[in-house]
Amino acid sequence: MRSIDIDFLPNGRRDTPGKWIALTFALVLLTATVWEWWQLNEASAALRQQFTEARRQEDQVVGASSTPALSEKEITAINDAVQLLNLPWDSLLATFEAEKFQTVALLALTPRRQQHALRILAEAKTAEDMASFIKALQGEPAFQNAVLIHHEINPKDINRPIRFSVDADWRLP
Amino acid sequence: MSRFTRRRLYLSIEPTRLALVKIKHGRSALLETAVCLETEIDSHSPASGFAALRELLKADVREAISLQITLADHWVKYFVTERIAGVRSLAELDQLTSLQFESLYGLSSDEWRICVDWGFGSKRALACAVPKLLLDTIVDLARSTGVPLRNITPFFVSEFNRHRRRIGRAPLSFAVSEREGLTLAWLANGQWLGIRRHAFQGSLADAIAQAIRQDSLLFCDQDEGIPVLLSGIEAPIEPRSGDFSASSPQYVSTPLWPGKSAAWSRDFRLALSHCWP
Repeated sequence: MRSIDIDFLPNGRRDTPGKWIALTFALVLLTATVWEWWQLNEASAALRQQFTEARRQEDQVVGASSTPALSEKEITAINDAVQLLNLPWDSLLATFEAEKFQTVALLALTPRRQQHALRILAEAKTAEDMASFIKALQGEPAFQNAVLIHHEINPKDINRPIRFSVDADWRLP
Repeated sequence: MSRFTRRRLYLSIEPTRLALVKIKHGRSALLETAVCLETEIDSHSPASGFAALRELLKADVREAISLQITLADHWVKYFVTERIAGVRSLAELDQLTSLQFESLYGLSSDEWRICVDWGFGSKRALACAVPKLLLDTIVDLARSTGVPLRNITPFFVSEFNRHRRRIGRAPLSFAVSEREGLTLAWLANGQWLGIRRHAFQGSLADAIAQAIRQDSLLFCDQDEGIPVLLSGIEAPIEPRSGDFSASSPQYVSTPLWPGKSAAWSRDFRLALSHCWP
């Protein structure tokens, strides 16, 4: 059976050496606890610092290994390819599908984005068809300064078509 | 004074006598002084009864490191209080205890200081009430002498705490005898069933038998075979048989202080209750 905890001495008036011993012990305990907390706090801060440093170093290592360096030439080539892909091909091809351009057969369209120019390689049955193509091109608002650069007759073909190249300034929409 | 010896004062307050003992505690306890004052103490105006004690304490207080006071159960109203499910705060619990005290004794709780020993999670607890005026007078007296007051304990509580290791979970009754009074408590499974004080004049053996008969009806559904442990001033029965299973009361305390007579032991039994062998 546990003891009966009954004492009629009011708590506030209890005046025993034990009280002072308990108070001293409590103060010592409190001081020890605060000191321990401070130590742990310091250790925690150091660990946090180490962790941050390690994280930073890891990021550097991972960054270095995952992003290969590209040469200036490669970057330019990639940019050119991207620019070519971004050209309005649909509207360009729609222009050449008009009736007035049906007298010739288009073989190649080579855009030069820096110069805003377009080189057209085509074949025509006759010189008149070639001339009418160039004239129609000059009348098209999307193109300016259309000039014949080169033409030749293909002797190996029995129809003897005229293969020609035209350069024109191209107004991008 | 040696660094390893401590002098303690023990004071008992009974209705017609005050006993003061100074003991030097070192390697062994050494009785230094023991004074018994015959005086009438009235709980309504106790200051006059303590006049002689004040002078005595001043003389004996030198080198004493503490004062322990034992109150005779004559001053104390005991009861078992029960925690009710609706109680929501400590204030309500105190109020409930006060109401139970007033209901049981028909006295105003304003004039009494009530202490309750609420154990952890227990629904029933032992409560004691002592007149406030008497208590305040005692505390003021002790403080005026300058000796550090260590505790003020009722005699029953002090005796029970000394013998508590003998008390298990089986039903039993624990009695503490004084001059002309007997406090009888009933316990089972570590819980208080009830407690009553019985006044008697004449044979203690008869008083105990009658008290057991009455209280077993009140507090215990088992009327036979419950061991009764008796401690205190009066010891009408053979001391220390060592067998506690019998239903008859068995005196579990030492009747005499080492080297002292029966009369001396009776006079200072209360005062030395805390360190009685």
